[in-house]
This record gives sequence, structure tokens and C-alpha cells, in this order.
Amino acid sequence: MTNRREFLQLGLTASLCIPLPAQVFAFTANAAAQSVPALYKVIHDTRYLHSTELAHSLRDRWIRQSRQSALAEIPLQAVTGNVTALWYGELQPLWLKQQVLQQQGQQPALALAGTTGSDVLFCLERLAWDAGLRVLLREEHVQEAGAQPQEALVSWVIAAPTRAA
Amino acid sequence: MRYPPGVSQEDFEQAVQEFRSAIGDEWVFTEEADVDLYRDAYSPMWGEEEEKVPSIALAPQSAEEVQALVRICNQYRIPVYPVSTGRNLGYGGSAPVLTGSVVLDLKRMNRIIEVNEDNAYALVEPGVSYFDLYRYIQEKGLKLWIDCPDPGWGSLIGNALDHGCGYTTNPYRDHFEAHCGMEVVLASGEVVRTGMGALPNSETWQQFRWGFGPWLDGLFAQSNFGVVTKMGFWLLPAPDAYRSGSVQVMGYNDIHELVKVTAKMMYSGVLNAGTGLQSPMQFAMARNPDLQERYERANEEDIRILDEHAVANNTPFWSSQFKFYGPPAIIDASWEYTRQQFSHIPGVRFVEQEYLHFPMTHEALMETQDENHLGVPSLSVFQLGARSNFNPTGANGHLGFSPVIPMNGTAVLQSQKVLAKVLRDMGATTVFNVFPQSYHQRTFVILLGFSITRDIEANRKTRAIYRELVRVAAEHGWGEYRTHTAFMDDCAQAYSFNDNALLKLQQTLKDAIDPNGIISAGRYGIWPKHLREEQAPVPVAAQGNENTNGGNNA
Repeated sequence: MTNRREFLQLGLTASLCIPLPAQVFAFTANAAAQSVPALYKVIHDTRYLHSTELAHSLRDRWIRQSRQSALAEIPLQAVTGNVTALWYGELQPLWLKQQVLQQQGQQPALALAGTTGSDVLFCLERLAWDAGLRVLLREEHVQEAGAQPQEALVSWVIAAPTRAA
Repeated sequence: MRYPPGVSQEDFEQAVQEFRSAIGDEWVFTEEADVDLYRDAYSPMWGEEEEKVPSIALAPQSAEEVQALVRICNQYRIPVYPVSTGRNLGYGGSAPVLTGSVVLDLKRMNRIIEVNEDNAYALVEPGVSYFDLYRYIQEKGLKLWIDCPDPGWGSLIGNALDHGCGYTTNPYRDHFEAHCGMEVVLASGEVVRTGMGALPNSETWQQFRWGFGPWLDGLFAQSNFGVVTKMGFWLLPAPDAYRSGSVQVMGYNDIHELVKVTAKMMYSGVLNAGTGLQSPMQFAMARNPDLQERYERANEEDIRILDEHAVANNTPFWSSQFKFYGPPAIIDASWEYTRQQFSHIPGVRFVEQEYLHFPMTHEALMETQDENHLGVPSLSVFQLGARSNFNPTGANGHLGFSPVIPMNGTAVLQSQKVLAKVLRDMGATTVFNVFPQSYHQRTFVILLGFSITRDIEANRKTRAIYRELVRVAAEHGWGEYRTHTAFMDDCAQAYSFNDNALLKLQQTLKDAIDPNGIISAGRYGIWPKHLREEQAPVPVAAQGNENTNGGNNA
């Protein structure tokens, strides 16, 4: 039986190979054939040992598949469970602005990704709904029963959903 | 598409066409993926047939659009369930009490109509969240504070109508008490303004709440008599300073004097902020079954041993935190007065905590011990459910049992014993067990929290425990101040004086104001006439185990 570390390594290796679901890269109706939404930033959760490496992996997969320039700055940002500062300081104004632009048909919303505890995603998902965004990817990283420390990480992508044109 | 109960498919489809004409296609949500967003994430019936789910959802942008939608619902007798932002998780969220109801999502009605700095009030629509109003005040540099619950993503109106509370000072921390004036759309589609709002050209709608004649605002809180589309709130002028400190006493029986003096200070206005009891000894008891047993039995010998343990381990038995807001000279005098008032208790200790001078930047406020106490909205409370070594299974939400008890030491000790026995007898574990808090001015509220999971059997057990707690608490004269939609019938039935005379009066009013019974059927136990018999709740005294009378006729 693999230990927890090996298990996560396996998961990490696997996730490096598995493509992100097509819907994550679905073109929006407004921006048909223009571009995949760019990734705004990737969130990791400092409460969890393996969050950062999994967040890096998620970002690499995005860059590889979306052909968003690897040179482009896609920052990683840390949270420690509490998303208040991220929401109040950045996301609420950004998403409000994006909503206005999208209603004008100008550009697809930026995507937000992360590997965090489920509580972080719980908050961000509900806040995203109000901005017309949805969770398009949700990958749970399981671990062996009884492993210490307890971790229940989830990798996710929040972006504009595809709607029939 | 799911259909509302008692409405023909043909009528409903016609009504949906009319909804689309009234507010636009874009804001009529009929697809499953969209309607699913209105499920209650904290539902204790998640995934069961009994789970309360809507048929479709509508998102109007103005009171006029609400009027149009309500008129259509009234014409076709379609049950409609208004939610402000639908984020009162733990109390039902955006899911209706009656499955198949049409959710009226008021989130797009998010205008801050007025904030008056000199007279310290705001007039807002239901979609305005605590974050929204806080940001507005910050950006305009107004010298005002809001009072927010945790979390702060909910609606001011929704929280106040559900009798939610916050953490600053009176009268702002009791959110319904802090409101002044409403605009309400009735089931007929008619708009009513309460208080001074009924006087055309009034300039005091948000300053004099009584108006002229009977005061009706209470009818629209914890009820289903109308759709509130505007509401005024009094705001706290930004204080100059804040200080907090705790009073700690060493003996089991010191609780009586600690609470008695606290109550006197609260009633006399020296203490305006919320407070509560904590027991540092509870951590020792949690690790030591012998101490726990002695605490629950509490005979003379047990108390002697508990007191000795407290002293030997330098652990206060009880403590209370006191908070003061205002000019430094006044809050310093209040703290000094507090020390004097408790100084006669042998061994009492005073611990100074935080002392802050304002204004502070938002970033600096976020670094304080608890930003919620300083009127800063936060989402930090959601970390409590995260999976961790402390909470190895994690949770998908929580449910709070919160009976109101008298503000005295005897009631605190008795309620601890009585409720602990229920929990022990039913093999229950709580995710939090909060000692009494003074969310409201003259009482304590106890908070017992239960995990909500995706395990159906575990949730069923939790519901049974919850109902038993309601029953046992009612036997002792302790009623819930607020509850999840799943237990509204149980709690309403507990207020049973004179053969449920109060509930009967509420039903009479419901029948008069909303004769077709379209608005929020079953909310707070008030069922419309045509559903009353079908949904007839079993009297609390006859319950004890699971029953599913909470409004689901699916």
C-alpha cells in the first residue's frame, strides 16, 4: 500500500497527464472562436501541505492546454481558509466589472483556479454564481483513511459557463 | 421543469410566459442547472425525497417588477418564496418551505438608495449585502459603522427579517430592532409603506418608526405576509475608540453573581454591547470525564472538587467579555465601573484585551482580534467546517439549535444539564456548544451546533435529536428565537399557550392579507388555509422522532 505522500505524488503525476475537461475550455457564446478565457490567478491554501504543488500543477495544465503563454504572469495567491480579503479586495470589483463587459459582449470573463480546502471553494462558488460564473472543474484529491495530517483538497476552475448561442 | 403543487401544467406554463414578459427571458430560470443553485446547501434533508426544492426562480430588478410577478402568481395561485440574497445558511438558504414554490430572488434589487451621515441611517433594497453597504461607506468616507452578522455576505433586509444579530452595540446589534420603515409588496400586488413612509413627502421615514396608528412592521418579520422591497436601518456613528476586557471568576457558584451584575449593567445601559458566558473550565472537563460527570451532577461535593481543580490549575470557572464603544474618556470610565461592580466577588480577575482608536484602515481592521465586532463583514466563519485534524470528517454545513433562556445563573446551569442529558441519551455530538450569549438585550441564547453531512442516516438522526431538543426545551419554557425551515412547524407549535392561540391569530391574519396563500407557505409555521390541513403539524408534545411535516407535499 502506498503511503500518503506517495499517494499524493501519484495523484499529482496523474493530474499532470490528465487533460482538463473540455467544458473548461469551451468558448463562450459571445466570444465564439476568439479565445479561451485567460487565467486570472491560481489560489492555494496555506493550511494544507500539498496545496501549493497541486496548484502549480493545475496552472501548468492550464498553460499547456489553453496555450496561454507560459511567459504570461499567472500569479499564485495564498489564502489561509478565509477568503474575505481576496473577495472584498479583488474579486468582487473584478467580477462586477467583468459582468458589465460581458453584458456588452466585449470579452469572456477571466477564469480563476485554485487548489484549496472545500470551505474556500464553497464561498467562492456561491459568490461566483452572482457574477454569472460557475465551477467548471472540480477535482477532489483523496487520501488514505487515517492519514495525518488530515487534508481534503479540491482543485477547481471558476469561469463563465458555455451557453447555447 | 418541476411544477408547483396545486397548479395545473397548463396554468403554470402560461404563467411562465407572463413572467418572461414581465421581467425578460433572461431572468426567468427554468433549467435544472440554474434552479439547482437555489437548493439549500445546508439542508438536513439533502438528497432525500423530503428535501425542499423550488420549481423555477425569478429575479426581478425593481419593486414594480415584484408587483407584476406577485400579481401573476396570485392570479394562478402559484406559491412564491421571496429570498433577499438566499444566504441565510443554517436557516434554509434560498430553498422554499414548500417544495415546488417559485423562488423570487431579490438579489438584483441591490440599490443603496440613501445613506444619511448626519442622521445615521440607510435605506436599501433586499439585494444589498453587508459587504455592499460597508464598501459604499468606506468609498465615500462616511463616518458610519454597520453592524454585521457572521458571515457578512447576506442581505441586511433578509437578516433583519429573520431576527439576525451582530456584535457591536445597542440598538444596532439586534438587526430588526435597528430597522426603521419598510416598503412591502402584498400578495395582491399592492405596495405599502410603513411608519412615516405612509405619509407622502415625509422626510422622517428612517427616523421615526411608529408613524401613526398600529405598528405593523413586526408582521413582515419571520412570516409570510408580504415581500419587503425596501427597508431603513439605523447606523452607528463611527466611534472614537473601542476597548474590550474580560471578567473571570473562579468558583462554580460565582456564575450567579457574574450574570446578575452583568444583567444589571446591561439593563442600566452601562453595557450596550453583546456579551456572553464562557467557561475556561469546560476545556478541562472535555479532557476529564470525571470532571464532566461532576459538572453535570453538581452536588455539594462535586462542586467542591470542581472548584479545587479550578484553583489548583489556575483556570477560571467562568468568564465574560465586555466591549465598549465610544469616546476614550467614556469607555475608560465604563471599564473602571465594570471592575468596581464585580470587585466583591472573591478571586475575581480583570483581563484587558484590545484597545483601538479610530479611524483605522480596512487592512488594519482586518488584523484585529475579531473584525466582526468592529462592523467589518467577513467570511472567516466558513473555516469552521473545514476538514482538519480537529474536525477529521469535515462537514457540509451546520444547524443551530438556539433556545432563549433567562439571563440568570440558575437558568444557565439548568439548561446545560437538561440539554446535555438529551444529547447524551440520544448519542449526539455537537460541532459547537456555545455557552449563553446575549444576542438580544435581556436574555441569553444558547447555541448548539450540529454537522450537516451528505450522509442521509446521519442527517435523519440529527433531525430527530433536534426535534427532541425542541420538545424538551419547550417543557422547560425555553423556545427557539429562529430556526431552519425544516423545523419551523416544530418550533411554532411549541408556542402553544391557550391551544396555540398565537398561531391561530397568525393564520387569521394570513388568510386576510394573502387569501390565496401564495407567499412563503409554511414559513415560521404559518400555513395558508388551503394547505393547513394537509400540512397539519403534529403537536410538539406528541413528537419525539422523525416526522416530515415541515411543508413538503412532494
